[in-house]
Formats: sequence, C-alpha cells, structure tokens
Amino acid sequence: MRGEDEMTDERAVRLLRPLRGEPEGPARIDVPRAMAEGRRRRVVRRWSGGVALVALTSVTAGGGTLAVSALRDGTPVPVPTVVVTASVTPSAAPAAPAGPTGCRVTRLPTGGVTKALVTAGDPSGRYQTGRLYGTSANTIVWRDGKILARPVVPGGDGRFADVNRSGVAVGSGFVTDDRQQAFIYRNGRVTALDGSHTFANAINDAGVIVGAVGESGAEVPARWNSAGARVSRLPLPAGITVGTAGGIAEDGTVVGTVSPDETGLGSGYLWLPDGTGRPMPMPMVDGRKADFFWPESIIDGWVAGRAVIEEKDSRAFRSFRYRIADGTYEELSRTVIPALIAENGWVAGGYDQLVVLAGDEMVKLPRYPEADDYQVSSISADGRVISGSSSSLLPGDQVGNDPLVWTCK
Amino acid sequence: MPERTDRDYLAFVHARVAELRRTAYLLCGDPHQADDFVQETLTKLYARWPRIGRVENVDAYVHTMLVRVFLDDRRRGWWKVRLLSGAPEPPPSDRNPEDGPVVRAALAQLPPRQQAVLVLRYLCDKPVREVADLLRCSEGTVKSQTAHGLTRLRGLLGVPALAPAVSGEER
Repeated sequence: MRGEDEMTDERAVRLLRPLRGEPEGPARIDVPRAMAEGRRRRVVRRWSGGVALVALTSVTAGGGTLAVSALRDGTPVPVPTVVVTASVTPSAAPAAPAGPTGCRVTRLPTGGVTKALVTAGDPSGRYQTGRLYGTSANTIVWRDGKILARPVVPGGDGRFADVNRSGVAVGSGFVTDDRQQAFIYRNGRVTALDGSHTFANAINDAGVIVGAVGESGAEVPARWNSAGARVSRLPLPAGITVGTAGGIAEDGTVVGTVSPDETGLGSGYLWLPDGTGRPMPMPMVDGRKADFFWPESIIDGWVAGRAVIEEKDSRAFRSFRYRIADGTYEELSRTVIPALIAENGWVAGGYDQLVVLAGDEMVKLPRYPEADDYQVSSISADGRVISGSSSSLLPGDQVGNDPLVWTCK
Repeated sequence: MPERTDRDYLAFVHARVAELRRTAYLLCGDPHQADDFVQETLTKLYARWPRIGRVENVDAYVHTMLVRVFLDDRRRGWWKVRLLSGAPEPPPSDRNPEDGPVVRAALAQLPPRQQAVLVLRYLCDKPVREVADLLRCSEGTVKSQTAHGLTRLRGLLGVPALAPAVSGEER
C-alpha cells in the first residue's frame, strides 16, 4: 500500500513539475493598504456599542475619514477611506413624531478613572454599562446616572455588549488569546454562560441572550434561553456556515448577519419568534440593489442598519430602517453610523456629531466640551436617553474617552 | 494579557510574505493574481490580528486563509465557467503535457479543492496531514481528492494512468 502511494506521488510530482516556479517581478503587495482595509473591516465586523469602535478606531461619518487611529499600538497606520453618501431622498423618511428637545449631556461618574467608555444602555434609559481603563475593575454599571457596580469581566478586552431593564448585562472577554467566553452580570456577580468559544451580543427583558459560538472565523449564531440555559445554535440556511446574532427584540425576534463562509462579508438575517428564519432582502439605493445589508439595531417590529454599496475602490453606506412585518425598507433622511432605532422610529447615530433623526428632522446632540469625536452606544425605547462616548486627542498621541449620557424631552 | 500589535503584524508579514506569495503563485500560476490573493489574505489577517492572540501556529493559520481566498475566487470563477459554457469539460488536449501553460490550463479545469490539494501536495511538497489541516478536512478526503484530481488531470492531458488511481475513500 505504502509503495503504491509513493509511486503515485512520484508520478504526480512529475505530472505537475512544469508548474514549478517562482513569481517573477516585484511584488505588488501593499501592506499599508492591507492594514487600512483590515482596520476598517474590524470596525464593520463589530456590532454597534462594541467597545472596539472607540478603542481601536473612530469613524467620523461626516468627514468620511478616520479621525482617531489608536491606540494600543505605537505604529502609525494609514487612514482608511470610508465613503458616506448623504441621502438625497428625504421623502422616503419614516413618519415619526417631532424630534427630541432640550437635550443635555452629562458625563457619567467613574470614581476617579480618567478613561472610560459607555458600551451599552438598556431600553428604559436607566442602566448603562461601560469599560474602564487603567484599573483592576475593567467594567462598570451605572443606574440612574450613578455607579452601581464595577465588575470584573474575566479575560482580555472584557466588556458588556448589552443590558436589559433589570440591569442584567451580557458580554464577553478573551479568556485565552484566541478564545472568547460569554459572561452575564446579574445579582452583583459575573458568571460564564454555557459553551466554549462564545460571545454574547444582546439580552432582552425576558432574559433571552444571543450571540455566537465557535472559533473566530467559524462562529455561528447562538442563543441562550436564559442565564443558566445551554447554548443553542440558531438554524442556518443551506450553504451558510458563518454568522453572528447581534440583537434580540422583546418579542424574541433575533437579527444578525450570516455569510456563506468566512471569506465573505455577512448580510442581514432574521430569526422570527415562530422559529423560522429568513435572509433580509437588499434595499434599493439609487435604482441599484445594495450588495449587503448590515443590521445595527432591532426593536419590536423594526430593524435599522445600513445598505452597503460596493464600488470599484470604495464602499458606500446608506441608512435604512426595515419593517419586519411586511419586509419593506425606508431610507432614513441621513446616513448615520450606526443607526440605533427607538420604538417611536427615532434613530440615534453618528453624523458630523451625534444626532437623533426624527423623520426629516435632525436634532444634533450637544457636544461635550473639548471632545473631537463621538460614538453612540444606545438609545432608549422612548428615544429620549442616548448613551455614548467621546474621544479626544491628548498630548503625546494618547486618546481620552469620556462616558456620556444625553437626556432629552 | 499581551495583545498582538501592529509591530508584530509587520514583523510577521515581512518574514512571511515571500513564502505566501510563492504559495499563491503555485496555486494560481499568475503572479498578478497571486499578489491579489496575498493582498486579500494580509487584509483579513490584519482585520483579525487583535483577536488572533497567540495562536500557536499563525503561519498555518495564514496559509489556511490564503487557500480559502484562492478557493473562494476559484469557486466563483468555476461556477461561472460551468454555467456559461454548458460543456462540462473540453476534450483532452493533445498538446505537450510538459508545457507549463498546458498543464496549468488542464489544472484549472478541476474543481477548486482538487486544484488546491494537488498544488499543496505536489508543488508545495506538503504532507497529506498538513494539507488536511490547511483545508480543514480529513486526511482521507485529501487522499481521495488527490486521486480524483490526478485521474482527471491525466485525462485532460492525455497521459495514461498506469495504476488504478482512484481509491474509494471519500468523506
């Protein structure tokens, strides 16, 4: 048997020998471009509210450039180009009540920690979760604008991704260098969720958690029916091997992104409460079908996110909301990143600065003094409490972050 | 916990880019396309870099990425060829089977995974086990894909098979 294998091998080597050779000419490999594009993909792979958005990069939508490249690494990285096209069809905007008024910004307390972020907020607007830097406790939970707890999420880059109206938060950390573990914070304690190679992205008020399970690059959408439940994989259609569940509505509808394999970019997918799943269709942008749809938030009946239009050398985005009941899209009056939707149809997101869109109206949220750039993390169900973080360039190329809450009438 | 930095990435890329380029070239036979594949692989690598952590064998991980980039491209192309041409395969070539372009053209007629298996085994000289790791499949699958690929390639090149080449192993 062995001899036969070897003979086959020898003949095969001879058969293919004419193909041996080295690539000629200078390499056309552009490492800075790989890094710039790779950095941009890091951003788009994360869900809104992910701390990485601020910790790694921060995209100023209006300027269309990377404003703050950061931070943990000393090496300068070229600036990626993110093309954001302002909408020209405001008539397609959804009907929504007149926008919020009297918005005020407050820095959340951090007990003396100078660098901190908000990573998530609950539907009531009472709870926020955050990330602390330079302390032993790496996360923080606020209630009613005050520090409730400073839990430790085990592992590197520990963070909470969502919190519900009961103040139960879910998130994950890298417990080894290549393994993430999903955690839940409740009753003052952080405990691991079932499963290995897991991360949790969202929890609803019923305590149902969604995220993903599987090694990085081969992760599949997952759900935990409660804090103590076994992790279960959400069904995927034939031909789909990779995906992440990113959000869950109060009625149990789950939204995420899926792709045929890890080499492709994902696009939106819905798992309905009746157990069926369906891919989100592609919205039309200027008479052309978008290449992808990236959901960024869900609330009962609605998903908001962005259409992705691939051009030859760039990628353009346009914001939409999607009505789950009839499968129709409505383009928002502006392109905001990310698009976080409230029950009344208002959408919080990043434009030149943070804004709330209410139909055609755009309400600018007040700036926090000295800050260069903002990232939005949550909008409450009533649209009147928005949480996020600011970034400011400090001396010595350090980046400062402040955790902020805007309250409106 | 130490995180992989840009500096680590650059060091890794500088050490490995020549080898990646060579593998890519052997996979596709076109230096420009090879560079495109490496470009995409390095982009994906950078996108994941902070999450890779200290993966024990980053080199194997990156080669798997490269092979996937190749397969992804070939799958698309292959489908297109199959759908558009209608004819599943051209008649065997009667040209010189020792001519590089002829062999390359014949190889390109194979399903992408068979192409990858043959290149990795017989041009990159990788053992079955390593090819199985790279393609994330069993060794048995590598062997059967090898056998099917060689049979098909010989048929396309008009080279007679001396021994029964196809084993029954299939996943």
